[in-house]
Amino acid sequence: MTKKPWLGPVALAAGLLPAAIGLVQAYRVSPSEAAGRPMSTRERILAEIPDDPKVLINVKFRDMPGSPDILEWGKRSTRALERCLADNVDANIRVRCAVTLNALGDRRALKTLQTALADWDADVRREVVRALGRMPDASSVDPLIALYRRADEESHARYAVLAALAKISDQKVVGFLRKEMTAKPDEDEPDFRPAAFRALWAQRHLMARTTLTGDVRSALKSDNDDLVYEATLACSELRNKGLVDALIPLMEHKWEGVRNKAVYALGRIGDKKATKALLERLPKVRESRMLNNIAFALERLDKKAFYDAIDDLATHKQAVIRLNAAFVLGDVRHAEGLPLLKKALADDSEYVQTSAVVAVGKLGTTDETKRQEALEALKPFVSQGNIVMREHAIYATHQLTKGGRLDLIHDKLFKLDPNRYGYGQARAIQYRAAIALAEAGDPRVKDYIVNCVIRGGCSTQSTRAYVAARADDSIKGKVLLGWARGDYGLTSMVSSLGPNGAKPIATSVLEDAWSNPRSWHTREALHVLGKLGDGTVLPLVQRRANTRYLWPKVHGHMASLRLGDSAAADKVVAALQQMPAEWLPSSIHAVAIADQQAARDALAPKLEALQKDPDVNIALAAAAIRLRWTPDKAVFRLVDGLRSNSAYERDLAERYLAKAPDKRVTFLLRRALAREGSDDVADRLRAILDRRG
Amino acid sequence: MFRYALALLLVAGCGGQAGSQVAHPDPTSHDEPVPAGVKRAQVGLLLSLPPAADCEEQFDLELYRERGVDMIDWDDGRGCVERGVDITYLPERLARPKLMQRVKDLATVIDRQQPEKAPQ
Repeated sequence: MTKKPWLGPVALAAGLLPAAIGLVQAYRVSPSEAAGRPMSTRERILAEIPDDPKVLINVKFRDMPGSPDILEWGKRSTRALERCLADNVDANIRVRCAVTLNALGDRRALKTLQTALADWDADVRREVVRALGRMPDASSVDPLIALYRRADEESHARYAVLAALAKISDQKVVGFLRKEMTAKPDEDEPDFRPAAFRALWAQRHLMARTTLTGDVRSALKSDNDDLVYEATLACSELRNKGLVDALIPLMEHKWEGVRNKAVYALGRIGDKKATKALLERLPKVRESRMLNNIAFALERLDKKAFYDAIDDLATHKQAVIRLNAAFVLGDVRHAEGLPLLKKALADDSEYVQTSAVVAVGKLGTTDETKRQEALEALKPFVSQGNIVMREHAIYATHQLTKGGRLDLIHDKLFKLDPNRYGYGQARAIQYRAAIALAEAGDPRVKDYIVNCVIRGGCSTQSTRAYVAARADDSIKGKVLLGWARGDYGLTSMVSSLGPNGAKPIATSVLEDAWSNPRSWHTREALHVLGKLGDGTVLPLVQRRANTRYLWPKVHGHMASLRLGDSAAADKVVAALQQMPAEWLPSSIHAVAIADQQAARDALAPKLEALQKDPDVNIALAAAAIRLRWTPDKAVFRLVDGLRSNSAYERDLAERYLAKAPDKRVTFLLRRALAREGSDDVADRLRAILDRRG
Repeated sequence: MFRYALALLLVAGCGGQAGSQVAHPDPTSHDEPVPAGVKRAQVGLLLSLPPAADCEEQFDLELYRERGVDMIDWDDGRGCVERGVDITYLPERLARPKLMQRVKDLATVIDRQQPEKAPQ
């Protein structure tokens, strides 16, 4: 008998084949199959999308899968969606396919989308235009402008064209938009000038400063109020003294929004030329916001003039004006306001008094005598019969003493007798006091805060940290019970406290939701198991990650990585690369959640490499994840994004920087602003800092 | 020989930067990463800033113009009075006395929390 050395491997492969097929089937399993039902037509079509580009060509609307279901295939669905857009005769289906292509942001669809600008249905064209805005490319400029210029084009599609052009950075776009901004509107057509200005503003980095300022100035003088409003917004960012003359008359504009933004911009620009106009406007003010804006502007421009003017308002015959004057005096935070506020504390109106009490608490001073004077002024109000005024006086005193009056908050607010005041009001006062005491780490509110957090009534980062720092077995048990009942606001606490029983319960939650991998139960259970760090659950977690759905894939691979499977880092990166552009911002938290150093060490270099991905959606998402872990290193990629030639990339980077929760990012952005030489990038940085507050 | 000359040039360059007044940045300049290996030092201070709604930011924007300042890390407090701050700086680019002088130009130093410490 001859030896057949290949027989062994073949037999082994044959033996493993059913298992392999089973695995593939498990990967493809639909909800109906998991529930033991036959696949519906819609589910069958959905399952075929990644492998059959023609599957959506003849689909009927009733059988068309929903966008979120298609998007779970990620960029594997692009080809089928392109064919759908080109070849399906149902306009409603083509709209859905264009919307889904927009969410995906896969540049491979660029040509198909450009061709689809010729679609006969206006709704399809509008969605196609939007999708082209998601993947900005110079080759789209001419077809988009041609579409805009067609006399028979619908106005909603033309608006979409302007919004898409806002994202494509090209000198041809700038020229076109500048022309449109000044074009006289047709009588039968909507006025597109405000939309053109918005689009042009997005391209401001491509314009010479003088040209940009000139365009904004002429927009301020427009007969279109929407355009004037847009231009006043732009003035706050530009801060150019050449705009002051055009802004001053707008303080009398018929629109409240324009008046307010004009005053705000004048304050930001800080040109003393505006002082006289602001002072003249002050006595005519009718809205608190306007008063506040004028006060801030004046306070920057001419402090003496401000205090002279506010004196008149603080002693005005109308209580509502005195009230607002007191508010403004507090908001500017100068001790110079104290004499005026002391007068307001003696006002006949309790509302004016309360406003003054709050304002005194905001005054800052290094002068101990002035601080004592402010505290003395507040003293009578701390024991006031009016509970609202008393509450404000106690917090103001606490603030002036740099957090030194916890005793007052505890004795006079937290221990308030609910029978003496309305039950609802007393509870609200007690709640605020408990939170303030917990934030100061006061042990006297432990029981209140524990119950409040477990019931989901006051779950903030600081209250959760307060409970975690004091958690004994009883508290841990209650937290786990609340989580098991479905209160997933407790996930981070269960994860960090790791109470006895957390692993089996989280495992059961994961198994129980097996047929629904996209459920919250799956996500939260994976978070808990990933954080607990018990490697015995790794095989189960890996099996869960082996799904076609992108989200459970990301959560599952992240949990695997946190459980020590460093090979999962590549899978996380692969999932991010497949992810629709629209979903990437939401993926930041799902990935950044890993707090184990080993997991971060495995993933961080891959994310750093991903920052260079040609797809800016992926590149900036990778940087935004790193920004949560190592802000000092990651911030440079995002600030570089602000410097990009592409308006799309600039906007995306701005959004990530504005939303990063770590206060260190604010410090880093201040450093970047202080050293930034480009006016345009500096404007952006200042705007982000303003948004971060 | 060449190596020594290069080192001398680098030292001179650093010293020159530390001692010079910071001018308005040129249009191409921007913040750049400082290599992890560059020596850093930290000083903890209690400051009161000139009162303004954005006093903390104004202080930062002025002090960060010194390229030798690496990080200004404020406490969680609010307002302009008695604020704790840790300033990390690059001693090879900015001498401590010069840093302290810049701080005193911009704020009132109430207290020094620590004489000197290594950054976290």
